[in-house]
Amino acid sequence: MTAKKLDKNIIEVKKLTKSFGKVRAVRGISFDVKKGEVFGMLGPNGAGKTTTLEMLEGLRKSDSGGIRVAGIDVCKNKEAVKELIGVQLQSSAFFDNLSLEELIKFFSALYHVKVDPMRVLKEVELTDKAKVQVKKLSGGQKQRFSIASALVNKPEILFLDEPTTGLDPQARRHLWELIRTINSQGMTVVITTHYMDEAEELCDRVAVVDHGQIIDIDTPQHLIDKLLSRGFKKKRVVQEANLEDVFLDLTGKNLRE
Amino acid sequence: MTITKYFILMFFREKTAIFFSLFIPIMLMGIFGFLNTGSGIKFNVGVVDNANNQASRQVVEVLGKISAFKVETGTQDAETAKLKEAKLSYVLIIPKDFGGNFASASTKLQQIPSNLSGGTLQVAPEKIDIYYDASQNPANVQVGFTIFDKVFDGYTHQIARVPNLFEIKQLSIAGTDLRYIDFVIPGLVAMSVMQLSIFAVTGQIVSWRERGILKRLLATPIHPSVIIFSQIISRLIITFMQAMLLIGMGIVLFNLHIIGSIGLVVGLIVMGGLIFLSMGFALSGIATTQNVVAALANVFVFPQMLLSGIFFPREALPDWLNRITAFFPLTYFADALRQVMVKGADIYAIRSDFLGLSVWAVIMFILAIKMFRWE
Repeated sequence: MTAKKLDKNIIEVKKLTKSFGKVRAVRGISFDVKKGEVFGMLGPNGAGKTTTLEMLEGLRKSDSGGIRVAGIDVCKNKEAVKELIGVQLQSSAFFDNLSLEELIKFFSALYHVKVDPMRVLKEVELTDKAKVQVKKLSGGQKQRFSIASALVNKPEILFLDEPTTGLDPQARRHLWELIRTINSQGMTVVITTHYMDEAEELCDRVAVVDHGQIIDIDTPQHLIDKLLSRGFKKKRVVQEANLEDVFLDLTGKNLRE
Repeated sequence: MTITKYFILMFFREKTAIFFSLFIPIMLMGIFGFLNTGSGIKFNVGVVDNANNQASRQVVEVLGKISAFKVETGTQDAETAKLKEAKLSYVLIIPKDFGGNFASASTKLQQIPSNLSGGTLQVAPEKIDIYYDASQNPANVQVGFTIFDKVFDGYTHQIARVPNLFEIKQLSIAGTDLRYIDFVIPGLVAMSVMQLSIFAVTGQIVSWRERGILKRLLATPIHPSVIIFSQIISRLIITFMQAMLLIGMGIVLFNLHIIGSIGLVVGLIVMGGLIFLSMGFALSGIATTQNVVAALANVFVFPQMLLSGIFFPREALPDWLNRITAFFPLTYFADALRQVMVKGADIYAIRSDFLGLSVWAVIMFILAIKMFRWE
């Protein structure tokens, strides 16, 4: 991964907590996200990733703690934050009976902006599906459209909640490519995943979350080095290729849609 | 604006929903309309003409002209057998010597053309036996006999050249002829507004919430009230068009006359739409899934459909039920619509309905806002 100059914080989270009844979903999380980086949140299901993300996006009220996104206090002014961020939710359903083009227009009205729907669709390579409805799209296309809907307001930060879950290897790789392209244009990306290869591939830094707490934050390489320095050794020697490499070699890297 | 436009667009692409939302009210209107196009009671009358002379044939002809009678002739055995099988309501027996008496009476009358002071003309009346089916509704039997009386009275007058001293004109109290279909169409329109509003909103909102679409909308900077407001506006426009279509069908197919102000009809439909749309929003806030909300909506829809005076006047209900149902929103709505559409009431005449509707509108609107949930 090419080295980026990352110094300015675009997101600052301090001692964030959230409980649902007796379940303490988020128990005092603090972290910063640098402007221009791809920041990953890793963790098993139910670790509190999505809840944390939803609080950052202004969708959920936090019980305590502070969040500043692009200099704005989310707890006090969530509408202003929503103008500056793009959101792709885990369950990315859209209205039936509207074409992609119409949906983009609809979303641009929700964001109070005027966009050329074809330009947005071009960013995610869906121009040929402009007249098609979401229910006719493949899983990968749906996720790409979901990202397109998050790009209409040209956000500073893009939040992606498990964008590649359920996609085939080709579609995953294609989506990674898309995320890298978006990031290379200067957009900060916050992504949750429970695929380690994905985090390793995409993220500049990752936070490992479990039981509503951050266990460690660092670059993927540093995390690996730390583990190795504690004397960790895999039982088997790592092979030069794995099964996914075989699969991609046999079926090709071209997108199937 | 754009948001409202797309909400309406979404509806018009949902072809099956459009079909079913209009199918039931139109079907009901059709059933009630065609059931009532017949011209009242009809009696089958069998005539046994034993005389078969000029006078008796004239009687048969006169009876045949009565619109309430369907006259057939036959032998006495055949006709009485049909009466027993309930294929006939009456059998009229004309005796062999029929007509002799009044032929002589006629002659006598001609002999004294201007008998102003003379005594009563002595003529032996002709005898006609009428058998009837005693198993019939006695009131109907009586109606038939009244018609026979009238027919023969008129016939007597005609022969005796006595002028009719009275002319009775039938006038109904509404000032216009209020048919059942006129009663039922405004009710059906009101009912359709209720059903379309409640079912459309509950179904859609709950589905959007289940699928996370509402949450995605919440992630945009738009104020939530804008979404609810555009949803209400677009639904209101759709409901309004559906109501107008139903009224239009009533006018074209069943000759429905709207006597009252069209503006008031429009206003009432908008108001009713607002009440039931708000109710839909409130219900979709309570219910968690599609199945729950459908059941819940029916709990509110069915009692109102049956007890709010849509298909029959509420006076037919037991007194206690009548009193409760008087407060149903649909009761106010259907009554106001009926008063205006077929009786030409103005806003002052329906002020109590209007007050009821206003109170419900406020209650439902507050409930809608309080109950609504995004996830």
